[in-house]
Amino acid sequence: MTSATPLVTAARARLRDIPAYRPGRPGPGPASGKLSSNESPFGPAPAVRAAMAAAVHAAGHYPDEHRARAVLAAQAGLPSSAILLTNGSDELCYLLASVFLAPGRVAVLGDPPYQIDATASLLAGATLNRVPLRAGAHDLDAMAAAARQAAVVWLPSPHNPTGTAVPPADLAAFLSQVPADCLVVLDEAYRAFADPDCQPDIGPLLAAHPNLVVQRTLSKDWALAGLRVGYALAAPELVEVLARARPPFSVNSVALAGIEGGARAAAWQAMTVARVREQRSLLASELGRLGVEHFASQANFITARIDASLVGPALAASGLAVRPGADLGLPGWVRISIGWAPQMAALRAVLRELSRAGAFHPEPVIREQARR
Amino acid sequence: MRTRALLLDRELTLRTGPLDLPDPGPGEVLVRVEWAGVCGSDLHVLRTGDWVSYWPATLGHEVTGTVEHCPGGELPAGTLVVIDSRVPCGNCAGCAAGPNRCERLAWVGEAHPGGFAGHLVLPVSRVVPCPASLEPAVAVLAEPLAVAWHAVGRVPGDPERVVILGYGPIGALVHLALTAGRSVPPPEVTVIEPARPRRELAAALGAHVAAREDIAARPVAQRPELVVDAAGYPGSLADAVALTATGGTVLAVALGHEEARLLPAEIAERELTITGSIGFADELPEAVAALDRDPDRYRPVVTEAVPLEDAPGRLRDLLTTPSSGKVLIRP
Repeated sequence: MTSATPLVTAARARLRDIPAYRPGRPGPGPASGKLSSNESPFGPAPAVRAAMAAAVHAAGHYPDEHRARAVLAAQAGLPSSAILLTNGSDELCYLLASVFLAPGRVAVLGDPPYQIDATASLLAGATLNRVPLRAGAHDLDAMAAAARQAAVVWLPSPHNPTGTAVPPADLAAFLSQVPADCLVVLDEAYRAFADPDCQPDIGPLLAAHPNLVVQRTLSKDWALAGLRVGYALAAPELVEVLARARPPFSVNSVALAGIEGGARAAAWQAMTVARVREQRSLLASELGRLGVEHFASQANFITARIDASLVGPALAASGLAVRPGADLGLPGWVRISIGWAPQMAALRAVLRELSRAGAFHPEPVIREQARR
Repeated sequence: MRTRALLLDRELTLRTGPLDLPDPGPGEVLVRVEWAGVCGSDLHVLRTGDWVSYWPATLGHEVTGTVEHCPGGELPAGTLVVIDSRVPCGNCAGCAAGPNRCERLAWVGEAHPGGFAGHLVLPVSRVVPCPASLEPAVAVLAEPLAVAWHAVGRVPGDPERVVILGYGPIGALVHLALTAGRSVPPPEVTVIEPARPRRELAAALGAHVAAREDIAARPVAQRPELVVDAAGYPGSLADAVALTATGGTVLAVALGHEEARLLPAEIAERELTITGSIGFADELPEAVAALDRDPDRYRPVVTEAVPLEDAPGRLRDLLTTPSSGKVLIRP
């Protein structure tokens, strides 16, 4: 029996710049205290669940994605030929990186980025050009300048981990500055939670910019995180190229049935989004009252400058858990997923209690202690 | 022991303040309240003072909490429980048929201090333990879900078309009880509700939404076999009767306090059945199990959670402006 050590050593050397993914942890007790993975607090729509349950009997057949593509195409106002389904939007990241990046090519991304964008780029052998965020938002001028020497620009909007969104007018101006041979990946995982005036009209942008790929997921407002479904919206020629590189049956038949059920789920999704936006607003107001710095989020989370080691134990006592910013390239911050009303009421109560104890503004307490 | 509570004075003023509770004795349990739900009957008491037998009163009969002390050892400390809201006299002929048939039936909060407080003391026999996997804010729906489950159980047969008048929390839970875990196809449920947020919730949960006139315009044979009066507005029962298909059932779950104008000949000639439903019989454990099996199904019914200190103001608002769903109070 030969040792695998040389293989592992070589693989580790190749992957040395790639951090291991650390998923959000649940709180102690019932898993619904998990405010660390930007999941939906309400789960998928009844119609989606019913469609998936009915599809289990067909699991013996290879999946047929035509009807599911038609549903998503209709929602996007685009032809089915403009859509590529993937096994979660993360598969699309790896797919795009494998097709458009290679050693010697450059990928531009914000700093901190959405981690999977960086990981997929590094795995493809690309060089990263990290453009620091400004106040949590993409520095589009700097990214456009960097794009002149790049093969791919990763542009999540709303961004993860900060939740800031690129205004549509700024996005249009940015796209007009990017060379036609540089792919722009607009990741709209959190689009549904954004204000209407922060949701760009994708159809005209795709028509004007054949180098644009819009990336979406069904993990957030559709609440299908466990099924792994994402999709790309792009020019049909681009979709055809990507389809050739994608495994032929990336999305399973139960997930496809869920998408078809989604055609009857508009009211549920509207309720989910409205509730999340309401609770996001309440949390933002509370953070403002407490004087806690946070980014203006258009996503289903708010990232705030709070020491995770400070807030973590207090939240755990209430059965809640949030994501340490250190996991996301923002040490000293936490990313708080927006849950349902009782969770968020409990979370606000913990924050108020910590504030009363001087946790967010230790300096005055220290000064007070010094006086004594 | 002393706890913090919402106190309703005889003059119907609300405030928070200290509440002294007796230490639990043998056969009793001290429960630390996690969440308490606001029921329509709580709002009726806030308006009228009806049914209360002690002052100042601490309302709240939809309660989930954690066992803090159980002198007899029947329940370990830390056990999540929901409370059985019924306070039957135990001595009447009605009680022999079931606690909810008691001739002098009272409720937790109206007969003794309830769950709008940090703690409450109850007989051990009046709490139902919950699985540790059940989220407390979901578990608090067990009591109203048991009410809905009991109401649905009083309907004969399996109606294919149902109309629900009123989509407050009980209307919503009746809808979910009608469509949960059935061996037959679920009925087509249509909701008549004037408040837009409640209509939106109904649509999200899979109901059709219609105006009363839409149903009334249907030929009698195409009207619903079951109409649920979960509204209780003046005239709601008469509306329910008018909208029901011949041979159908009217299920009254709302506690309307206005006299209803019904034409007995219509009920006879159309062979209608009018069924009332109050509280629950033995459905509370069943409701706990249903919530644990599928919490996502019920979570949207809860639309608001307020801390106890903010409850006086919020409850006063609810007297004039109904909530869009279940409001929870957190001590």
